Amino acid sequence: MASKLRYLLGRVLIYAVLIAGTVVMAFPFYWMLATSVKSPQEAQQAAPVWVPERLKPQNWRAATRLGAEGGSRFWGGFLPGRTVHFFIRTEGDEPPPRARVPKPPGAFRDPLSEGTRIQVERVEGGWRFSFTNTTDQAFRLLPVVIYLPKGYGTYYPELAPDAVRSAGDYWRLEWVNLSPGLFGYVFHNYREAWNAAPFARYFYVSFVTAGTQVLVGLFLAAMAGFAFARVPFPGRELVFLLFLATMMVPGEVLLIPNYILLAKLGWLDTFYALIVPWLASVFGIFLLRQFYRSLPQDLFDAARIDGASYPVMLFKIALPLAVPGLITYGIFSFLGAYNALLWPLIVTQSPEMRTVQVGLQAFIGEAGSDYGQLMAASTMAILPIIVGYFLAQRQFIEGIARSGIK
Amino acid sequence: MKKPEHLLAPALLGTGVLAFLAAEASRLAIGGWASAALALLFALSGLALAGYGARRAGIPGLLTVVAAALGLGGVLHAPLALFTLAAGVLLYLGLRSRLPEPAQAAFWGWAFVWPSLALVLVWHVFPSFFAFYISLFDRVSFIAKSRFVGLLNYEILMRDPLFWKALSNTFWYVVFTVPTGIFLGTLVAILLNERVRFLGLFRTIYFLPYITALTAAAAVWMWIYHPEFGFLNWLLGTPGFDWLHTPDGIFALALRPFGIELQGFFAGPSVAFVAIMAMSVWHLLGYNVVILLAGLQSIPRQYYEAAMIDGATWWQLQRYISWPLLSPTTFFLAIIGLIGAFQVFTQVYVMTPTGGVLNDTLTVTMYLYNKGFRDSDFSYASAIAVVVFFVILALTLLQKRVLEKRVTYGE
Amino acid sequence: MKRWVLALVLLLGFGLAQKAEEVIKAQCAKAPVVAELWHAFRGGAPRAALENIVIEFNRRHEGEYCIRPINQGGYRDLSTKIKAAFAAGKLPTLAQAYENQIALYLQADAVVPVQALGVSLEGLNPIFVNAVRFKGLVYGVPFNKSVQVLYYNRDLLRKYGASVPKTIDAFIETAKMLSEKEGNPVYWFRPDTSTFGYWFFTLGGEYMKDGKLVVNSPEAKAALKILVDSVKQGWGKAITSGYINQNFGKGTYGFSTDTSAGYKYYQRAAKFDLGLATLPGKTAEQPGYAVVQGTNLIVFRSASEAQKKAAAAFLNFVVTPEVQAVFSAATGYVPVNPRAIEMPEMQDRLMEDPNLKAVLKQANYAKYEPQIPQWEQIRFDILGQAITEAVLGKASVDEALDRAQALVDKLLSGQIR
Repeated sequence: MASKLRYLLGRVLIYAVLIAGTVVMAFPFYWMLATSVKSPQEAQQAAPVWVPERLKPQNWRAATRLGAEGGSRFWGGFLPGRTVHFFIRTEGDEPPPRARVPKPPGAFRDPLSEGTRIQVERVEGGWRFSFTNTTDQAFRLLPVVIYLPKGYGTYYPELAPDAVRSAGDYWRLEWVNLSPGLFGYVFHNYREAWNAAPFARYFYVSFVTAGTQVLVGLFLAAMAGFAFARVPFPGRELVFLLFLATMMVPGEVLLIPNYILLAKLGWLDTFYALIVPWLASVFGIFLLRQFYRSLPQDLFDAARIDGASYPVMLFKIALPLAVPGLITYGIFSFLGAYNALLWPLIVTQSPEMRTVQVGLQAFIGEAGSDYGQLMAASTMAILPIIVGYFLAQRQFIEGIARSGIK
Repeated sequence: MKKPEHLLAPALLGTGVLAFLAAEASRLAIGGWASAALALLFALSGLALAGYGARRAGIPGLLTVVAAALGLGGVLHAPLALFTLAAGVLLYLGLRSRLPEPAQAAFWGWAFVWPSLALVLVWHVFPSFFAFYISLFDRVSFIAKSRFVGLLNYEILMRDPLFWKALSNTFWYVVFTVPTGIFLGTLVAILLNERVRFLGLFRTIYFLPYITALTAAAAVWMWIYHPEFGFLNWLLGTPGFDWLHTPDGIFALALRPFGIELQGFFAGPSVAFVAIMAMSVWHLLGYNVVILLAGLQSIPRQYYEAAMIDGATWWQLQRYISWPLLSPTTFFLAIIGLIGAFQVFTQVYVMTPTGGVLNDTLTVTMYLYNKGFRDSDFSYASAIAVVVFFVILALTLLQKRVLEKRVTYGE
Repeated sequence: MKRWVLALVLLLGFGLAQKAEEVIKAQCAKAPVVAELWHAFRGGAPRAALENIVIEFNRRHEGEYCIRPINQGGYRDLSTKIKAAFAAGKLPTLAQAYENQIALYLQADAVVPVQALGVSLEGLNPIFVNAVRFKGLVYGVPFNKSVQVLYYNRDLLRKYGASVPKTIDAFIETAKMLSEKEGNPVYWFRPDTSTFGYWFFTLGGEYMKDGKLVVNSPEAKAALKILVDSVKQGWGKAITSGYINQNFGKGTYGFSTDTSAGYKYYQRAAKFDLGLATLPGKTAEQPGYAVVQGTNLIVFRSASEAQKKAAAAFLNFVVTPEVQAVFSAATGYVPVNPRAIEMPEMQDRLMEDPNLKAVLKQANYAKYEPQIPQWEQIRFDILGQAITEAVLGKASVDEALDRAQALVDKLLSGQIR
């Protein structure tokens, strides 16, 4: 009886510790996702906002209707000739509010703010604002600022404003997009982050870089690892020692000379610079060497007796059996290439050659940055790896586990 | 004994590759006349080898090829080198049927290794020496001219307080993160190994941070540490506390109430740096867990069963079976952690771009980056890199000696 | 049918409105001459403003040449990239650069004096222009410039009937009085070279004495002593975390002597009535001296003649009152051409926000920091550290500055790196 109780107590303790750990480990992800759907003002609250406005169904309804008026119900927009009607319920009788479409900074001309006709009318129970697109252009967003006299005390806008600030005798209500549509509303930060920088190109560069590194790197490591493990060629020990020695050299040492070498080759700011220096991975060669060595020697002896040449042994016998090892190296190589920051930061110059991490880094640190957008961009940046993980969970875990077995 | 002609084909491959590299180097004006001379030397010896091999093997066709190659002689360029390479392959193919096992092994071994070796030579070995070479000059910036100064940079480095600061920061980083990571990792791995339900889910959550890009992770943690809007301050009820900009050492802070003032190194890592370390442990924990879990699962069940029959408690099982049998794995993680500590850059660069209020989060890599790219002194930065290499080498050897005595290998 | 197509585009949701970056790319694809401009505006108003200015310029010069702005990250990343580009021999045509960076690039004679290209500097703020003058020649066009101003909490001053201090003595007195009444230090400052610079310059200090860099002059010690004493006497608070405006949440904010470039962020963070004034001076007649901050646009010698021509045209365009008005109104940087004030954009801004008059006035009372290549390192690693240490009580004023001077001497003579 007592032992049963002790067992139960033990189980409870185990789960308690594990779950507590899980909460700590998972919290940053939760916080990233939660912040990524917040408006700047919501993000910047001393006490956390647990349910952002953009996740509230009543706002979804308004966003859908407004989006449908301006463009589409899902992604909103502000199409030529369309009028968006917006209603703020107010109590009391005060001077009329003012509305305007803010002009982007430094613009010499701005078709959106100049081409939007704004009407403010008194209607039953509040004020009605209409915004009409008189241009022949379609716009993605309809940013709006409404100045409401403070005398109104309480007021209920149809769609919760993204920011409320005090401006003299007025409340300054701001909407980043008054015609968002359902998805355009919830995923506003994602869409804007995507639009703020050529993320599509960043992803392309990252994938080409990481993909090539994995494919070519695998091929090279598979050959070299095999030679070290199974081909008794003269000078093997010497070359192996050389490879071992390079593993001791920290990456920092290579940074500057490799940079100079790339500059001499004229390879800066090209895919070559991102890929070639890291193609031969001593780590990968070791990993695969260990793997080939763990295969039974009889296999190769038998093949040898049958007259198989070394390439045949490598490609027909060793490689198929070494697939788990290849996956391990492939995962490490991909993770390393995709998540690298320092190297791509230094060797790329034009926006066309930036990787996702460099693009993301450019987002961070901008004074007074929009944390919602930053978190949305961060989410996008880690998404491919996370998706990859869920698609190939077992390979990931086993692959990583294998790297530790010497 | 191997006959010399067995090595002919691989030797041709080798001289071919080396001649190619040297020819390219001379074309790019790297290494001055030396690379040109090397290219010539390699190319000529390759041709000589080819001629000798062809004669020994009695392949007239190949001789013609070699003669044609010699016709191109004097050309110090890649084509010649490639020719030598091709000669090696042809020679092997021509002789294949007549070649004994060791010669085949020699050819294929080198053929498999050469592509990787060439890349390693160009992008790892050569730059390592080049870094040392640069470090012997005065303020190489590529902007102004510089002159040879011997070991001056090293001399200055040895009395550079910021470098020592960066080293001591790195020291604290190792002392704090490596044992913490291994301890927490072992704890979680042991618990997960207790046949818990939802193993996959737990493992996934512990593992996710590791595959998350450091840039993104650092951004999130910065946001959590934010003095005004950060979640941590709300949770702890410490509004306004600025985790990432508090330069006071944690030992100094802890002992201040007792009237003890600790200075310099003994003040310990700053609060800011500890905050960065916490994020780093979070990031790396999943890796430790997965590796340790694999280590645990490779321990034969019988050991535990036998011990249980002898009446061992759970604690004793972990203490006397799991822990010692995990020691090769923990040793591996300790080495990885040590080397990783010297390369910490991304999270520091993102979270405290200037290296802290009082250089309290400056790491060695950050300092190297600052010297090289902010202050345009590539030679001093290279000197740092070279010193770091020797420090890591020394520490790894030391760690090996100290830990190896206590590591239990095998069964 | 057409509506469906449109709806589909909208459903995809991305990239409907054309991004400025893409507009420029398209403009440059057709241009016979493209001149790259590397800048450090990561986003927000400055970047948008710069891109809009470039679009307008390119439009006016269609078929002739095109400027292509490329963001290289923040200021630090930008200088990294330029140094890297030196190694590669692939410099852009134009770039933003601080004065000390220009000094560095001049060691390789890599920068062209702008007047030789035909850029007219007439009518520009002479302080900003002199900051980029090396041996008599001007090597850059001042671009995004800011000066320090006195920010203050109008509500707090009103509460105790205090007026905005015009002199240093009045400032210290007011700050002491308010701090005492509030039980909280009201003068907030970042213990760095910029804050120090204001006090130092206003007390009559000069960094360069007979061609030698001096950081431990009596004025320097007096300036640092004011900051150290302010903390000791309880009327000054050292902010080491982030920008001052990021700390408004705690304590009583009264004053700060901070860069005008931060005005927007102050405004956004302030829940009180925010006021701007010129810096307190030594006497009431004249405001104190601000430190000139911000970068200049430089042209690299390695650019082709055609690119240099494009660059010159662009620089001439940038300094026109019209462009300066637009740029300044959008970003809050000080217009480098004082005539920008007469433009409607600036008039509108001034009417909307009379605070800005203080910034414009302050721009006439400013000094620039030493134009030597090592200044960045001295500013952060040596002088900046000394100031922080003294203010945080880790060293005395004399100790800190004398040690800094010793380090400066060693650095400039090549004994340390």
